[in-house]
Amino acid sequence: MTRLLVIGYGNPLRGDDGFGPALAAQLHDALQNHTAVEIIACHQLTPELAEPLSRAQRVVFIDAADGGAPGAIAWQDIQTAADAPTQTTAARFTHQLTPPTLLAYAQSLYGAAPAQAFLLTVGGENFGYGESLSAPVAAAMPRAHARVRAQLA
Amino acid sequence: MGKTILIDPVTRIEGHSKITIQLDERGAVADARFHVTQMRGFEKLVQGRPFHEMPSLMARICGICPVSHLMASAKACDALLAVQIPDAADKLRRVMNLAQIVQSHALSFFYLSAPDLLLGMDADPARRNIVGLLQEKPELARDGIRLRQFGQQTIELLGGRRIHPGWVVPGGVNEPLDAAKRDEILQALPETLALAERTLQWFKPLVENYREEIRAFANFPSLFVGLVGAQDNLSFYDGALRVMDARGKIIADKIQAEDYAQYIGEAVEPDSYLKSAYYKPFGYPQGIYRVGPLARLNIVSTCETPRANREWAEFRELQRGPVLSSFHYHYARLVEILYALERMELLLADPAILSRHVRAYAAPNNYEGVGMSEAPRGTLIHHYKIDANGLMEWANLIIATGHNNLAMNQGVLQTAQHFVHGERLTDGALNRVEAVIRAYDPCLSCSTHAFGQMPLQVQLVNVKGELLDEKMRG
Repeated sequence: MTRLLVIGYGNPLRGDDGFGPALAAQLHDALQNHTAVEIIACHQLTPELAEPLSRAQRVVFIDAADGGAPGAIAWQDIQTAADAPTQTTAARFTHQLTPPTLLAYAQSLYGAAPAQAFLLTVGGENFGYGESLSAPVAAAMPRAHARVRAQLA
Repeated sequence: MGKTILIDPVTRIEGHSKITIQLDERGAVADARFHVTQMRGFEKLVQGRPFHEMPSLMARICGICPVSHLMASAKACDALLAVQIPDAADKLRRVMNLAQIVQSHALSFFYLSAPDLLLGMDADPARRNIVGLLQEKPELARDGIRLRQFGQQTIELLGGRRIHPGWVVPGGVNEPLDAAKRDEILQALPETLALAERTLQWFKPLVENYREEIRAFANFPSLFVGLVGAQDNLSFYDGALRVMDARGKIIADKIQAEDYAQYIGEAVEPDSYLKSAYYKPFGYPQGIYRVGPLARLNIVSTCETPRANREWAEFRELQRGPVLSSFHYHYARLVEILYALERMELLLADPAILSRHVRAYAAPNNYEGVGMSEAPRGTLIHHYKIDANGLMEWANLIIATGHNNLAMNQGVLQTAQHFVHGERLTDGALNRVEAVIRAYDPCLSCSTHAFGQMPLQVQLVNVKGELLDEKMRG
């Protein structure tokens, strides 16, 4: 059973969209000695993530958000399987497979989903072609890092 | 004044797009277009980068087929070095490439298309998606995940990372394969093969339910293009390009990577940033062709591996000559999954794959290099130019979805003409227009290097082409 699953996703060649994987990589280094913690950095959410989800007690998804103040961190409690069907019909692209849809997959296919699920987003400023984060997004990393670490307390 | 119906956005494919259908005064479909509205930019991003960074950089274009870009890029770099990679490296690259074919086809079939194929194109839209699939036939969803996991695990065992492996490098691969990892992959194969076969056995009878779609889904004569192996066989990693016409006649053959530009041209449509590829000798747009699973199974003479070969022979019985309906991309994908798994087994069973000699070393010997391979969706071309210091000056990428753009548009028009009628705007009809796009399994993130959410432009155009209304969404 995974105590905490972290999934940071986004395209690292599109500026601030690389925030999710970058924070996941940072957390991976920081939490190497923690047992029962799993960190995944990926380009986008895909169906097979349902399997590690089904083994986790708690999950934090990390993504950049388009719109909103650059560097602003939002922390959302995601509705789980019971409400997911409404949201999955709104999730119309597979490459935008949403966290609630993944939770529904986990519940439906494996009979289990995390009791607590959160989505951490940071407002992005620059999604152009490039490998670096903008200043406000880079500045938000420590706060976001701490927010996720607090889930282990 | 004609009326325009928008299906916006097209669901369940990677990336974004818009379809506009233009009706004339009588409510008949006058025109239908598939628009892609994102910009290209990855080709500019690479300028000034050391060429040996290209494979890992290019793998980051797309989260669905990073390995495809890795392969084509590495092959372009091999050409810059002017090296022949060691035999073990060739085998290892093939295994990784095949694993991704399995993975990508699994996503397309089980997650993008299965809701339509299982639940039917007239099913309630609230259920005709993955949720409905989970309720109706969860074992299909589970099998899809199992195939994706097998592909992922193989790629990780070889490359050491989940996505964007840094293991494939110019000149070969970074590290040889050890026996323990090889055995781990081999052990998972029998179960995965059985899964692929039972999916085929389940799907084939279903095809009978789709006679109308088969007739109308981009069912037209076109050229077919793809790589063919030395034994005229199905081949993904390597081979020479073949062009076949709709009657099965080979009109160009054994085209090497460096000569692609003599045969493949690219045009940019005014309403789309997706480049349209065409067969140069026939001109634009007459030189329309298709790539991908349907094209590959049409242009080869054998799949070589036993089970895939039997299924391929049965597939070819669908039509005398090349199979023309784009509906059959789905069937072709399943045959290719079977082939990929059988071929992986053969490659891994060969002791030569464990050789420690996996890399050829050289400095650049050419200023220009082209790499060509078959991605899940079709032929992928990476063309690079470097300066005397080995820094990238220029890159051109021709993506599978770009090859298919003209054919996808043809498919949208044909399907719209057949299924969409002014008086009856059924959801099922509109979904079929979307579904014909899905049959091609386009990866728009790749082909236009897009990401995430972007505003969608909706345009209402009258029969004279005058803009009546314009809206932004998202």
